Amino acid sequence: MRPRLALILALMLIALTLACAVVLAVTVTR
Amino acid sequence: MVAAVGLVLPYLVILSGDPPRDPSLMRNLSYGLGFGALALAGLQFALTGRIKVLLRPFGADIIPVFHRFLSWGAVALMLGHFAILYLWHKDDMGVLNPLAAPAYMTAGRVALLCFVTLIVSSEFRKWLRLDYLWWRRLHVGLALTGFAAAIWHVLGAGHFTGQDGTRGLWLAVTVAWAGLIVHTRLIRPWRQSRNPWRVVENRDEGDDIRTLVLEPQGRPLRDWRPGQFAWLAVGGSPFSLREHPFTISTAPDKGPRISFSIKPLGDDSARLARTKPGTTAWIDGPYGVFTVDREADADGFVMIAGGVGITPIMANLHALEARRDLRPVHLLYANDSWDEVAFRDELARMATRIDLHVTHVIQNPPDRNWPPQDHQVAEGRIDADLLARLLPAKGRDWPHMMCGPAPMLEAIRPALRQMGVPLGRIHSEIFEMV
Repeated sequence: MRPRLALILALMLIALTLACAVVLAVTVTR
Repeated sequence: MVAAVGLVLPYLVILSGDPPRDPSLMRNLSYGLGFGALALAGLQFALTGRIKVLLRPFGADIIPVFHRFLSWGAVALMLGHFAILYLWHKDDMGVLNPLAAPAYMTAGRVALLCFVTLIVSSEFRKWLRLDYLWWRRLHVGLALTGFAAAIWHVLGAGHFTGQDGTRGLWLAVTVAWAGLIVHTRLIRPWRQSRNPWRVVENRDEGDDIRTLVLEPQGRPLRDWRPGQFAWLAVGGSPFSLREHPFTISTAPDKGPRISFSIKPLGDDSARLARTKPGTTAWIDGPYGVFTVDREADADGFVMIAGGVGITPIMANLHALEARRDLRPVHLLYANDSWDEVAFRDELARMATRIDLHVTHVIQNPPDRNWPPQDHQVAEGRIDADLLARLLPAKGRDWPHMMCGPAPMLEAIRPALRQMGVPLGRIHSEIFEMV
């Protein structure tokens, strides 16, 4: 696997985490 | 996939319960980022824990790259968590003074400091003149302290983790993370300590390279592939972090003794090169996928090595020789000067036994006795012109295995792509990350 692919995969995982954080925030905001 | 599940897990745990409602979106977002940062940080222990099942699909050299990018992400989320509260809800943060602030808030600040220091000390290790061994100790120390502090911070703050239903699940997630750490830092070294090896020979290979031959005192190493590497710790203890990855230079069917070729490049490898026979050693491996065995149906191979990156290539060539595998191999081997070319005679000898074509690419050729009569050589660096000139046109579909410093590999990769080598046929192993 090449470094750029590793970067893309890492960015996808970070984006996933970010998305989860947003979903959580929206869900629990009254 | 496993990584994605690991990252989503904490959120699933939180949402599985009945999370308390709060009117502030920004505050909730900040907490969300905090949990995400923790999940990313926890994932790092899985990445660096050398868990073979998780790492099998990847080249071993890519793990540090991945680790690095994800760490940046984790620290970015942590800073986001901090910044949002600082900007919108400064009152929540209380006072900075650790004597007056609740311990769990101080723990959060300690965690942030640890993780930022981790990144800075890794990105600028050379500039900071940090010795590799001490950097590694610092790295593991800061990672464990930072992570423990972060867990304390989360449990102490109790947002989303305080309700009865969620608390048990949350503790389970925490225990899983702790389990990874215990596995990496305690169980694996303990297993190694029960299975010592002994250095039986320390041989001079010329060109500064020493070969250590090790004999198992317990279980021998099984099922390694040519070109794979193992972590080697000599003397001391397997718990000490004083270990380095080296290519196993013995062909797989020539066990149970195995050997490692070491070129002293400073730091600890000079010490390893002076190891006396009789010294106890510990091995953790095998790891890596830089092997001809991955390409059993290839018609031939192109191999490109830079400097000490020759070692895994030598291991692969030894295996081809031991198996009398007569598929053509074209090797381009780059070095700064003719004097520092390692395994020169060994390669010439192998070329008489298997279908091996070696071209030495020398950046600064000597003034005298150049070019040498009995070796094929080229001057300069490995670039697109040189590749097109030296590699056989029929070999575009062959596996291209390269090992050397990252800048060299990054320069060669696009040139190979332009020549029509498919991406899936380019395999690389990078030496030196920090």
